[in-house]
Amino acid sequence: MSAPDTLRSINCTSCGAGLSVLGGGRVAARGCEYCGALLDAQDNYKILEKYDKAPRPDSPISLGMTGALESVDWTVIGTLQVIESYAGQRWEWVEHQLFSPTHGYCWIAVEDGHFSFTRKVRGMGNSGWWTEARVNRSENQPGTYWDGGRYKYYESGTSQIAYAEGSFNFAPRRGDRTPYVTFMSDTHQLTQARNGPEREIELTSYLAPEQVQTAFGLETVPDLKGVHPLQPFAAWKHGAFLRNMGFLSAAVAIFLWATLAGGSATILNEPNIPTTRPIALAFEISNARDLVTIRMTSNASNGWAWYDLELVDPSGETVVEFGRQSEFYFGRQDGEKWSEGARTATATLRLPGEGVYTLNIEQSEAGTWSNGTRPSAVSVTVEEGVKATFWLLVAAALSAIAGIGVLGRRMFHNARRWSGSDWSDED
Amino acid sequence: MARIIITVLFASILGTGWYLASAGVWGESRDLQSVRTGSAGVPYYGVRSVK
Repeated sequence: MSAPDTLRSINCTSCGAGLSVLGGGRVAARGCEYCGALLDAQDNYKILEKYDKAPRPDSPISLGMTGALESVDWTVIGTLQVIESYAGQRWEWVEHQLFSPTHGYCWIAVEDGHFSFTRKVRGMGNSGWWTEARVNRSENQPGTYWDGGRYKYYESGTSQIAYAEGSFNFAPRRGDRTPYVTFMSDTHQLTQARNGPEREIELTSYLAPEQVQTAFGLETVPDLKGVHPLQPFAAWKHGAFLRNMGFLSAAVAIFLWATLAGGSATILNEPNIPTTRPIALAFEISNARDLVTIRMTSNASNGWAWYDLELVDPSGETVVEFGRQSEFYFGRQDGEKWSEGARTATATLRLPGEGVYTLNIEQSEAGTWSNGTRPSAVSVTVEEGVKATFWLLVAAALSAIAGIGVLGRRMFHNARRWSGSDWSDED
Repeated sequence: MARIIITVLFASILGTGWYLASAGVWGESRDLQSVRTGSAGVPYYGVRSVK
């Protein structure tokens, strides 16, 4: 016998409390929120099971609430507390069964302040039925295509009913266990669950807390904890513009860097000058606004040399004295070649004016290592019109950081979405 | 408005980078950066570096 649609309340056949009857003619059971008994709605509300009264799970949604989701009017008819335990960890959430005279039954789950909407669907996906054992045998992350969408394996386990009150289109006995395997796309979870002999396919989507609050007229919604696997990415309003401008600015900075780096002019190029005697090289500066780079490269081979340098201006005054070292070592260890040191040394400076300058170089010290030879010659180049181009690399880096930051936020969000998955490629 | 601010921000980054690069700011070798004026009034750069 089905409950007539006109029946709106009954007395609990276990404790006598008045109970509302919601959920239409396909309601199979009624859980008494006063005594915990589970009543058979198909057979005059006979007692199916009696349980100790358990505390009601915490949820902002309660029996009898009504609300419209995507233009469908739903009534909250039942509340379940579901738990799952594995390896000493315990997860629990609340599921509310909803009924619509036109759309039947569905669920709203509440976990860590997040809401999700689940309805039964047809078709298990192109890769067939999955069990936890089949997942464990799989070498690659399982996946399936359903209704044109690609779903990757997310998790599997066995959930268990811990509390039930209200009306349901099945009989939710405490302790009932439901093995399930869940796949996930960018927007939905597809769950294959076995309830007794029945195979059920469920499709779950995320509900924004504000949407649920508005739909059901909730005064408050719980604080969110963590990121829900289906939680959409909250993109910045101008994130795409910021990202594009960041990468564009970085590209322009690199272009400017290349332009400036290639704008210097070599005004002296003297290769392989013997260093047995002091060296004097003259060069003419025609651009005193920019920097000048002096570059020295020795023929060091498992050896080193120290050079004293003096730069004399057109009037014969010493502009600067400084030293530079050139060294280069190489060898083979454990079958692998190695080398260290730098044969080339540079000095970049700004000169006080234009004119002919003289660069005096003296190799004041030198030495060898292993079977090396003392450096005996040096090549010298002088460039003018040198810019501090690293500033444009700094500008490129700063610009790119902005673009990467926008992309990184989305990647970080997706990583958090998938952090609850029990799939590991290392297993 | 936000897009204007973002555009100005990146233009500023590029402009500043271009200016500093062109002006050679901090482009001199570190041991040659300290500028002193010699006895003849000629800028004198640094001191002999220590090996």
